[in-house]
Amino acid sequence: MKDRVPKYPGRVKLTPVSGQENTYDMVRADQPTQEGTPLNKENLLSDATASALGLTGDPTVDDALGRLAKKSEYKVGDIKVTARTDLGDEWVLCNGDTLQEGYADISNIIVPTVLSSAPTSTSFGGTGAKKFVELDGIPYVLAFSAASLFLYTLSGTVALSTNISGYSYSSYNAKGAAYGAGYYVIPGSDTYNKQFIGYFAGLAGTVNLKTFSDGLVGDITYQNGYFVMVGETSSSYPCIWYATTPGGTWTQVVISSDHTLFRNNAKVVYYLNGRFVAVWGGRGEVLLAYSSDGRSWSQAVVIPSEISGDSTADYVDAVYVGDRYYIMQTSKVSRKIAVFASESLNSGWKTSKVFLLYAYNGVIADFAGNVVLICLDSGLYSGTVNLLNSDGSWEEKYNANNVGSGNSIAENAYTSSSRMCIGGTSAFKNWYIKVPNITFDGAYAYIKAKEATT
Amino acid sequence: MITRPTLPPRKGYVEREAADGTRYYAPTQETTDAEALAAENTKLKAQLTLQAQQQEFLEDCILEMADTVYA
Repeated sequence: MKDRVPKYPGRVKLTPVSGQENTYDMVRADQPTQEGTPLNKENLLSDATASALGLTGDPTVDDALGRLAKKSEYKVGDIKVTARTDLGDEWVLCNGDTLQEGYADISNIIVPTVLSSAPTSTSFGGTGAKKFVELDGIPYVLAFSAASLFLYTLSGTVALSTNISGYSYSSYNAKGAAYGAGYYVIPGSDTYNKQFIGYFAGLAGTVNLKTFSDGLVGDITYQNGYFVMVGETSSSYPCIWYATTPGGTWTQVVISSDHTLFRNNAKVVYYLNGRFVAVWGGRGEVLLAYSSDGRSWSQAVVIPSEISGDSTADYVDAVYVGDRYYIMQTSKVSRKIAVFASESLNSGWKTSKVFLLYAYNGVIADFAGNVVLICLDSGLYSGTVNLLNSDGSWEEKYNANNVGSGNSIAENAYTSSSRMCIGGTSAFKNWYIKVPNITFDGAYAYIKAKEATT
Repeated sequence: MITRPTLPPRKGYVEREAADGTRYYAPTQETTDAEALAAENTKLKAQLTLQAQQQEFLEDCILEMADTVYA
């Protein structure tokens, strides 16, 4: 900055304001030889600088100085030992607690702890963890064996159990589960011509079956008064069904008659960022459609893909993290998993990465604010957890040795801010993010868990 | 998680918060292991002392028997 250099320091010109007693307009009359740098917002605290400091709204210079003082030399993940107790909420006591919401900054630094007490296939009656579902706010493992269906808690306790062999069905083959309007609804299929939903009035209720004659049923969700189930018509066109109650009318909406599918399980539906989002793995493409109310649906959005979901073992999955949507498509035949990302559902989709050799199973999920791709290598029968870095690159965080092996992982996953359960056909692993345990006499140990926000 | 501890710092123990908001000390795994080792050590010392006493008693008995036999 430059100082103002006046020829006549302090000189001003006063002009009386007409009709207002003792009121003057004042203009500088110091005739500067150097104008100096103006003291305005742009020079004191510009919007760009405020944003760089993480300040929003109308911050003052004092706010900026306060932020600088708090930023200090410490970075997220650093440990500080002090007798003070007023470090602020970005510093967390090192007492071994499980990480809670709002600390995404540190969650991709701390290596999760694997609990040795995680349930195994034995805990699931030999049926395995087929899919994790959150129903009425509680996570469950969805499992089936022949005509028997089970919902287990994450500790391995049976919450719901039924058998549909009495209805002349030999397999349940559950696709997903949803809870709404007092009902637990679980679509399934025996053979191609035996598509149905089973619904239960409460976990202790008996099963009611409703059959679907036109096509394949798939994953299901419930939001804003509507069950929405993704599927495929008898002509292999992508479609969804919606209903207000499971025993009532299910209305079919055909999303597109220009794209055909493979009669497989590569279809999911979620409620993401305020909209229903249905995704299908197609022939050299991924298809998606979205709806704000579950009844009126967009046209099919086509994401070109170099792989085809052409096997009954293939999957698609979707997640919304931060300000982006992510879709994953696996191909057992191509031995690849493709991940696509976009800020918008209807355009801007780009390939984030095509993972070679990984195939067969895959899940893309939000783990404590991070995008993770959990997948199984069909060739080596080993699994990995891959983390998407902020610069768009992918990093393999954990490999087969501490993830699992064989078919024991990556068919499904349950994630929260501090916990990641990875399951498959024979077992699942529980992962927790915990802050370290560090103790001293006379001083506390803290870990910096996020950047200062005030 | 705790950002403002209220209990005095204590080596081997971490401050935790119960569901009702009460703060308490919880031993670290190392402390739990050390306490278990200390307890086992005390028990073993007591057993050793007892064994020594029994040994001494048996030796006394043998000496008394020897006195009787060779008297």
